[in-house]
Parts: sequence; structure tokens; C-alpha cells
Amino acid sequence: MAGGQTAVAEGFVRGALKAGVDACVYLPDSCLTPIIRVFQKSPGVSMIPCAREDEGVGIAVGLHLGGRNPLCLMEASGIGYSGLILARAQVQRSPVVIVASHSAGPGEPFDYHSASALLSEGVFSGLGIPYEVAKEARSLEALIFRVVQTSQGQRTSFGLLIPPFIAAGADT
Amino acid sequence: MNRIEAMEAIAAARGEAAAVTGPGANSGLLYEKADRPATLYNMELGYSTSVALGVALACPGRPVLSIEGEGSFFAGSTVLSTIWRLRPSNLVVIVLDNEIWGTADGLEPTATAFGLDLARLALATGWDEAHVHRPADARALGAQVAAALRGGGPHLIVGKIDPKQDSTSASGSRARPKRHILDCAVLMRATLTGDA
Repeated sequence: MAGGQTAVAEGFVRGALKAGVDACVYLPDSCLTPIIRVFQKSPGVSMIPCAREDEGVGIAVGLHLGGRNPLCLMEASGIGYSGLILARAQVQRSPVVIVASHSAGPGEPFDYHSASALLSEGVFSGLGIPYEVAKEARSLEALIFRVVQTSQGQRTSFGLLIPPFIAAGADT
Repeated sequence: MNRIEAMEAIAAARGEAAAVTGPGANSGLLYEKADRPATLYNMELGYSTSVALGVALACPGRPVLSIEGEGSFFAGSTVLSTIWRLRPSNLVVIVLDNEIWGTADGLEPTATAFGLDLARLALATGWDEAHVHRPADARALGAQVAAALRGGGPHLIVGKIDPKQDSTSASGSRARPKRHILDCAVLMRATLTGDA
């Protein structure tokens, strides 16, 4: 991993652990894999790979019901698969924090991410799920802490979208 | 076997196992016959088993049941490979397969009516024969569920329901849980975390 990516990933995981995250449900993604690698080295975090993103959200709902505090990491395309189970999670107040790459904002050069960028904010908005698009790498640690804090305190799912250049630490 | 016999056998074996049930007849029947505080009813189609997997991972000391029809289970069947990869010993997945979508007039066949074999699907995703069970009748189903809930999982139990004997296939003819899904989730979490 490049140094910028590693520093961003380490800061993100520090913030998540400080907020009490103890499980990471994930599918690998080019932007978020550095974060997954840091979680994998973090004692006390259960790593749960899944086969589809919506399956992972279902697993996260179950983890929360059992008293755990998971994050779901995925490419934004998976948010599209996850609409129904995210709606159920909202209705029954089983909050799921989704951390996903790609947004409709700047820094998305590839056409094959267009659909992912289009749908992620649409799903969150449509379901009334609050979300943030990360604006700078150096504040990710504080941002994920606050996202998890709000999700737990308000019993709501929460989305955090991380554009590729932020995950790469290339915003400055 | 018919679905009511099957659910009576499951209910008798349940004990205090946590449970997540899929949409439709299984939810109402479990509520009627073996309601417990740690139960989520009418989980969305395709997600009963993934949610149950999460509960099982969070609560390794407690048996956890997922009960789904074959239509819902197949819709979410990627979870088979994830379960086998993680192998929670306390998870028991029960699929009651009547080969019919349990909605509307109850006449629309599902994929299993055309040859899909969910037990073989599990084997194809890596499961071994020792963890995949095909009880032939309600008595065998009850015995298998009771044995599986003692541990050694994960277990997949596929019970064939005779569609000609299934009076619960049409959506207008079934019992429904009387606890709201929000209350179910609050009660389940409080029970599982010792905060009830």
C-alpha cells in the first residue's frame, strides 16, 4: 500500500475503534481494501467476509441484534443491492453503518463507476438514511467516529461515502 | 409432511433458541406454536438466514434458528457459502420446501418444482454431508432439529412439504404474528444482550 493510503486507513480504523466498532462485514473494493487490511490486524475485531453486499447488511443487522457494533464496507454498487434490507433495518431500528467507495461528487474518472455513483446517494436519500461524503482524508478519523456515534445514539443507519482520491490520501 | 406438522415439530424442539423466520406462513405458525422473546418474524424475502448468521456470530453460546421457505432461501442463497466459510457451530437453518410461492392464490411454482435441490446446492458450495439433512417426515424433522440445536453446526435441514397438503400456501389463509416487527427487534436485542 502507498504511504498516503496507509495513513488514511489507519486513521479511519482508529476512529472506528474509538467509537466501539468490533466487527467488520466486507466485500473487497479497490478503494477500501487498505482499511480492510488495517482492520484485519486489529485485535478484537471480527472480520466477516460475505458473498454479496446485501447479505452483508443482513449479517450486520443480526450482529447488532446480538449486541455487536459492526461496520459494513463495500463498493457503492452494493448499496443498490441492499435497499430492501436497509429499509427493514430502518423500520426495526437496527442501525447499520455503511462505508462505501464512490459518490456523485468530484474525483470519479471512470465510466464503469457511473452507476455506483448514481445510486448510492439515491438509495440513502430515498430511505431517509443520513449520509456524508468524505471531503478530506485528514478528518476521516473524526468523521467515522461521529458517524458511528450518531448511528448508535439515534438508532439509525448511516452512510459514509469515500471518494477514491480521499481513500488514497491524495486530496492535498 | 404438511407445514403445520413440520412447524409443530420445530416448535417442540425449539427450546430457547433465538429465531429469525422468513416471510409468510412459517412466521405466523411459529408465533402461534413457540413464540419466544428472541424472535424476528417476517424477515424480508432472502434475508432470514443472513440475519440469523449475524445473530449466531454475535451470540456463540446460544442456538440460533433460521426458518425459511424455499423461495426466500434460494433468493438469498449466496449465504450458504458464507456460512460454510465461517462455520458458526450454533446456527441451524431450516428450509421448508413446498415448491410453491406462498403468496396470492398459492399456485405459482418455485424453482424447486423444476429440479432445484437446495441440499445439493449446499454441497456444491462446500458443505459436507454430515451437516446437510433431509428428514423424511415431521417426526424425523423434530428429532433432527433437536439434535442440531445441541451444537456441532452449522446445520442445514431441508424438509419437503407436500404442496397438496399445504393449507397455508395462499396468503389469505394463514396465521400472522401479533407483535410488530419493531417490537420484535427491540425485544430480541434486549433478550440477547441481557438487557430485558
